[in-house]
Amino acid sequence: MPYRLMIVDDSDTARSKIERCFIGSNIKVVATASSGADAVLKLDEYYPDVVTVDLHMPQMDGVECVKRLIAKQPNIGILIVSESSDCLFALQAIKAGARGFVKKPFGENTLLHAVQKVLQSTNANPY
Amino acid sequence: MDNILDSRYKGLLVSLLLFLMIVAGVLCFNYYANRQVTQVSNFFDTFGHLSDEYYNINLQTQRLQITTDEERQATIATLRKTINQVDEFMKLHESGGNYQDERGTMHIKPLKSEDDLRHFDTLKTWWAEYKRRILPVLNGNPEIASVAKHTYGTYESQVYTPISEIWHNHTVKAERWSSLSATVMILGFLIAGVYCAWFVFYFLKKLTRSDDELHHARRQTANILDTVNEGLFLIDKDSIISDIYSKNLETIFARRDIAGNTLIGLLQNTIRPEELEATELFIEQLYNDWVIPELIMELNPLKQIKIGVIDNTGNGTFKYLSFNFLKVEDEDSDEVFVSVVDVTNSVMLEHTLVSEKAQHNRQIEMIGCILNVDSVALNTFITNTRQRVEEMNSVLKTDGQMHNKAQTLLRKIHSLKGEASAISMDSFVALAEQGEEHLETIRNKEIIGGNDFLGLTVVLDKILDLTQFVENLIVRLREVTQSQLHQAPATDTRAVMDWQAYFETYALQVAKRQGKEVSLNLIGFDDIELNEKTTKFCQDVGIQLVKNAIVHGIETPSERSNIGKGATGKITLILNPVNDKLRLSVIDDGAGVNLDELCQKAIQMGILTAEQAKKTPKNKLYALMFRSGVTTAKETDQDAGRGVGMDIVKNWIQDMNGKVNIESMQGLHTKIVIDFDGK
Repeated sequence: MPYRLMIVDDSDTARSKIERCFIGSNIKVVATASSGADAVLKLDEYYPDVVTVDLHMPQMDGVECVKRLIAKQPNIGILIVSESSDCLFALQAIKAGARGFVKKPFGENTLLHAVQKVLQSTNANPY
Repeated sequence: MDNILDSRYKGLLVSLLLFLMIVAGVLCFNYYANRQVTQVSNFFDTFGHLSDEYYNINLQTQRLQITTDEERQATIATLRKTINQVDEFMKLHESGGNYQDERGTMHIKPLKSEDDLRHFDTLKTWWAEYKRRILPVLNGNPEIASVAKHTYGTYESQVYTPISEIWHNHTVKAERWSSLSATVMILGFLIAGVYCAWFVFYFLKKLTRSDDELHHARRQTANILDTVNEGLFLIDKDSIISDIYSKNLETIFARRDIAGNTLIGLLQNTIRPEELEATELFIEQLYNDWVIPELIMELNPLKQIKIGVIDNTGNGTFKYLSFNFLKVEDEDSDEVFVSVVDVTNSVMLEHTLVSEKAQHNRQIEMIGCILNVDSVALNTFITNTRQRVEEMNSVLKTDGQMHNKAQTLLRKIHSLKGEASAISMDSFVALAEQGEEHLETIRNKEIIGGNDFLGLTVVLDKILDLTQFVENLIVRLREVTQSQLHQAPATDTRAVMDWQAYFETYALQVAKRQGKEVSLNLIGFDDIELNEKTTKFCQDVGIQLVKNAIVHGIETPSERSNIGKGATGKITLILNPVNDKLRLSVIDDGAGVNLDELCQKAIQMGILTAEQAKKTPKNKLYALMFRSGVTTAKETDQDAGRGVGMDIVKNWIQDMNGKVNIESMQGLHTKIVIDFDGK
C-alpha cells in the first residue's frame, strides 16, 4: 500500500507538476489543496503521511499553514516546495515544523527523493 | 563488552589470568605443603609420646628388679598403664586415626613408607616379645631378672634405633616440605615481581606508543589544518567555533581571535542584518530534531556572501565567501562541520566576464549605430553632447535659484535625449532618461540642496565616458574601414548635411515606438545656406516638433482609417526666408490640438482657472503648450510625458529672437510656424 501525500499550492500548474513526480512511485497523492485553510480541513479527511506546502499563498501563508498542520498532527512530514527568494521566510517555516525545503523549479527525482527522506524521518507506515 | 574484548585489551586479560593462575597455584601448593608439615608435626607429637612410653617401659621393667614388695605393686600398676598406652600408640601409627589431647584432636596417618614399615615391624616384634615375657611378671611371677635383662639388652637395637630411624625419616620429610614450600614461595614472589615489572614496562611502552600515535595524528591534523586552502571548523548549537580550526580561517576573516567566538559574532557588522538573522535561524534549524539537514541546504544564507573586512593596511575592503554546512551525524557529538572558501577571485572574474560581455554588447550596438548613422550627424552629436555636458556642468557650478537651475538642466538634458534619439544612440537616451528622472525628482522637492544634484553629476560623467567611448570607436572604425567618417570634419556640418535622412530616421523610429506610420516631406532645407547656429536650431527645434507631431498629432493607422484618412500620417517641414528672417514650419495632418484637454491639464496645474480658460481666445490658449510641465501624454515614455519638449522649443525660439504661431483644426491638422533670425 502506498504512502499518502497532500499537495498544498495555490497554483494549478504547480500542483499538477508536483503530482506528476509521484507517478509510478509508492507515494499516492490523496488530496490537493489550493489554500492553507483548505489544507487544514482536508487533513482530517485524508490523513496524509506527508504534505508539500507552498510558502506564498493568499490569505494564509505557508508558515501559518505549517503551524496549523503541525498543531493538528504533530508527526506529519511537511516539505516546503517554493521559490527561495525569501530565505528568512522559508527558514521560519522550517522552524514552525517543516522538515525540508525544495526550491522551485525542481527536478522530478529531486522532489521524489526529498519526499521519501521526509517519510523516512517520520517513520510513517504505508497502509 | 565488545570493546573490552578488543584485541588491544585481549593480551592484558590473558596475562592477568595467567598471573592469577600462578598466584592461585602457589597458594594451593603452600596450603598443601603446610598440611604436610602439620601432619608431620602431629606425627612427631604422638610418635614422641610412643618413644617416651617405650623409655618408661624399659625404665619401669628395670625398676622392678630393685623395688620392695610394696613398691613392686605400684610399679606393676604403672607398667600396665604404660603398656596399654604403648598399645594405643602402636595401633594409632599402624592403622591411623584421631588422637585427642589438651590442644585438640589431631589426625594421624598410618605409616606408609617401606623404610618406616620395616622399622615399625622391628618395633612391633620387640613389643610382642616384651609383652610375652612381662605378662607372667605382671601376673605375680617374681622372676624378673631375665625379662629385665632381655629388655635392656634389646632396647637399644630393637626399640631405640627403629624409633630414631622413623623419627629421622619424618624429620627429613618435614624439612623437605618446608624447604619446598619456601622455594615455591620465593619462586612465586619472583614470578610476581617479574610479571609486575613486565606489566609496567609493557603498558608504559604501549602508553608511550599511543601517545606518539596521538601526537602524530595531532601533528598530521595540524599540518592539514595549517595548509588546507579552506577555512574548516566545527560549531556547536550556540554557533561557538571549536578550538581546532584551519589556519586559513584567520586569513579569511583577517583576525586571530576565532576559537571560542561565535560564527554570528564573527559575521556581525560584516554582512547585512537580515543575512545575519537568516544565518542564525539557519544554524538553529540544523539542530532541530525534525529537520533533515540535507534538505535545508538550499536555504543556506551564506552560500555566497559578500563581507566587509579590514585588510592588512587597515583599509576597508570586501570579499566574497562561500560557506558549506554539514551536520555531523554521530551519537557522541552534536556539532556542525563548516567549510568556508574565499571565492572573491571567481566572483570578480564572473563580474568581469558579465561586464565585458556588456561592454562587448555595447560596442556591437554602438558599431551598429555608427555604421547606420550619417557621419555628419554623428560628429555633430558628439560635439553637441560635449558642449551640452559642459553647459550643464557650468549651470551646476553657478549660483542661482535651485528650481530654475533644475528646470534649465532638464531642458538641456531633454534636448540631448532628443538628439540621441534622432540618431538611435539608445545608450545615450537611457543615460539622459536617468538624468531626467533625477531632475524631475529634484524639481518636485520644495527645498533643493546642492547635494541633490550629485546623482545628475554621476550621470553626466557617464555621458562623457560614453562620448569618449564612441569617439574611440569611431577612430578605430576609421582605421579599420577607411570609411567616410575619416573625411568628415566634425565642425563642418553644413557641407554634407542630409536633412531628409536626419529627420526621417528619427521620425520613423518615434513612429515605430508609438505604433504609428508617418511620411516626412522636407522643403527648402537644401536651398538655404545655414550657419552653425541656425543649423543647430533647425535640428533641435525640428526634432522636438516632429516628435510632438507624431506623439500628439498623428493618429494610429486604425484610427486614421476609421475617420477616412490614409493610414500613413504626413509631416511637412518647410524652411523658407521671410523678409529678413527665416521661417520654419512644421505641418502635420494629425488630430490637431485638443484644446479642452490642454486647458484641463493647465487648470489641474493651477496655471489658469476654469473661468479664465473660458474667456481666453483660442489662439492664446495654444501658448499653454509651451508652459513647463504641461503635457497631454497619459504616461511618461522615451518620447513624451515630462512636459519639457515644448518648453525648450520656446527657449530656443527666444534665444533666436523668434516668434511662434500655431494654427490647428481639431481632427484635421496642426501647423506650427516659427520666424527666427537666420541671416
